[in-house]
Amino acid sequence: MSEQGGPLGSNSAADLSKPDLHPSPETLWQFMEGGLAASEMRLVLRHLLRGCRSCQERARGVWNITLPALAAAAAAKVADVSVVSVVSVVSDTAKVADASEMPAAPCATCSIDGPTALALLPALLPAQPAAAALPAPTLHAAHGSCVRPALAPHLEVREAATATEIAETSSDAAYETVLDRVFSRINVEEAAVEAARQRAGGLFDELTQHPAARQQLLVQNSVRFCDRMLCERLLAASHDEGFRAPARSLELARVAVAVAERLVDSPPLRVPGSPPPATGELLAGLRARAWAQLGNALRIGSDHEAAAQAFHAVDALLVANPRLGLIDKARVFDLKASFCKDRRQFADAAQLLDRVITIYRRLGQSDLLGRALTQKATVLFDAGDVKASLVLLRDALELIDPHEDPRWFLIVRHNLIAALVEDGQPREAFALLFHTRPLYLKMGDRRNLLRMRWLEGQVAQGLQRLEQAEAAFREVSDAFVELGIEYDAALVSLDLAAVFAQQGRTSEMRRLAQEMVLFFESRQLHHEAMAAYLVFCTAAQIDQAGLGLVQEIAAFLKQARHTPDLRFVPPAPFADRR
Amino acid sequence: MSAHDTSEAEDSLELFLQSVRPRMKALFAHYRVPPQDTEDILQQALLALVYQRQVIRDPEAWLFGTLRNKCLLYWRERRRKLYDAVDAAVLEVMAGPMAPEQEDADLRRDLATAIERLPERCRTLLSLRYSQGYEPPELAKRLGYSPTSISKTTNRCLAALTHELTAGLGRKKTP
Repeated sequence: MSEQGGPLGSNSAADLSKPDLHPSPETLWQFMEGGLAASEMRLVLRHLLRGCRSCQERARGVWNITLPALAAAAAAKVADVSVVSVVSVVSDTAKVADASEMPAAPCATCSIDGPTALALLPALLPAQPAAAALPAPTLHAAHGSCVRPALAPHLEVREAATATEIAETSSDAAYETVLDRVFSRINVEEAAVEAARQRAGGLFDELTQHPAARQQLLVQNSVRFCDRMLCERLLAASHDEGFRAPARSLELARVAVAVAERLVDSPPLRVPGSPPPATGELLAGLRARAWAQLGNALRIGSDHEAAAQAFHAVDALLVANPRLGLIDKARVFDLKASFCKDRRQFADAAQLLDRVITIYRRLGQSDLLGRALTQKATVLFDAGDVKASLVLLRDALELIDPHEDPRWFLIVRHNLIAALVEDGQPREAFALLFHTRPLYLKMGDRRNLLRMRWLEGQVAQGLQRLEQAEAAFREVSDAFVELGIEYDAALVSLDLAAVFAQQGRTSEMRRLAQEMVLFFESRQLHHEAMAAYLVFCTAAQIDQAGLGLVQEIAAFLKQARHTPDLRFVPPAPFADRR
Repeated sequence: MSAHDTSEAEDSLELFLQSVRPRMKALFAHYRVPPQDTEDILQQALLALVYQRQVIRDPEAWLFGTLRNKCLLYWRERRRKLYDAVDAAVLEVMAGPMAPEQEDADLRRDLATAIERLPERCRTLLSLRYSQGYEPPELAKRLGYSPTSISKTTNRCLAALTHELTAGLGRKKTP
């Protein structure tokens, strides 16, 4: 076999083992793709180990296959022996007027006579996309090294086409065939998926009218509920309930996990016209999302231990299925990041969100990217890096379309104003709040309006307009008490206490502490938060609640909001008053 | 959703697929994924799109991002096969003389030279693997890697060795 040898199939392994022979370009290509049999791999390896420069050069070209421009050039180089010759002959053949002009004598190299070669060559015209797939003898017949000399006297040699162009033409046609096939399948399946989605709506309504235990039973025992689209519907519903109805969200997530696991254990019922059952990575993605949603619902319910177990199941699925869909991965990482944030594992949360950001950037989903940046900004804010948080929030604002996604746009603006206040930029916060007010009003939701008012109080406090701040905090505090939103009521009351502390109004602070503690004692403020609040009350009773202490307790309450096991360590004078 | 909506959605998918067709073809050609392997990649991506269409705001960007990722994964998978094949071939070469004595000795020397040019941790790892036949769990224990990270590290070292085989003398790459 020569350095320009034919495909491996035409050579024996023994030939390759001879030191003066080189693997053919095709063999080398197959080697670099790991596509050779073990014994052939060994022979090529030996050859490369001997340090053959020309083969190393060729193999190196194939190596950087993930850089497409380089790879294309490399492939053209590898292919140039067989394809260039074919191109020349093909383009030349078009000019052959008469078979009688072909030499009748067989070619000295391939033993094919002129008329036979001419009969074979039309199959290699660019219009025939299967040229590359022709059997070796045909290619050999078309190979310039043997047929061309025979044809040369009769032909006007033309070097119009390049190897790359021809390779592209043939693969172009092959791609067209594949696209046709897949597109027609997908068009049929899309209708089936839509029908399945409609059916899942009915199943969801039917299932959720039962108590939770019965729902689980139905999923376990009735194959009708073993439905992928039902699982998707349950996940969406669980996510929507989120903070609004945590118990309901948890219930739905549990059922979604049961359905997802059931899909693995037993094949779903095939309804005529239904889409093909989810397999492999699609199913693994669904399972991972179901477990992650369960973890998220448990996190919101402050059951961190159970949430950790759910996320452990997610991790196991990710390890077992490294080729999970990108969007599934992003959603799972996003939810896990929230869990890490609540656990105050800020570095882990930020790392996960970086992956989410990379994925959304790669998928070109600017709205989701904006949301992920906002999430990361929250993590950084909680970790105390307010400056970095501001940068991300400004980036996020550029990505979220206020008309398409007004709710998220408002969230980002709100967080940005809060971060500006925290960063000691109340004037900028004031200006932004002024421009954001119409958005709050447009959303119309009472809670949003209260949050706007709360923010107004904080901005006013930052601007040292303490009377305005007091009015805003009182208004919001009363509303939160009325609505029974105890945790936020506690936080606002501390903001109000800070205003009193700034003004030295100790008696009013004492009164505020007495009123609030009565309210919290009848509510479910978690243990550590209550302990911290009691320290504030005690300090207020003895006129020792300075601005520093109030701010310290407020900071703790913010940190402990979703982390009830975070322990409050009172400052030294109050260490024994927990 | 009304019947009219469904029909519109179907139409729009068909139109969407036709509009992205040229770009899609160019992408596969760009990544040089053989047509026969394109089918799986494309079908998986489009199925995922159909299932998740409700949450995807920019389907074109999503589809091409997904396809690019799948093409890269495709080649990563192929490269992994290459590393495995190189590993098996080296192990076989080292297992026993299959060639005349002098040639065998030359091969061992050439392999040792290639390994010598790799970064320190790969030298240690591959020497233990090829000269003393250590399996990945034993390598993990001996070199202090976690059982989960040893296969990744071994792969990186095999990638470096394969690169060395093709890069020839004087080129180093940190895995």
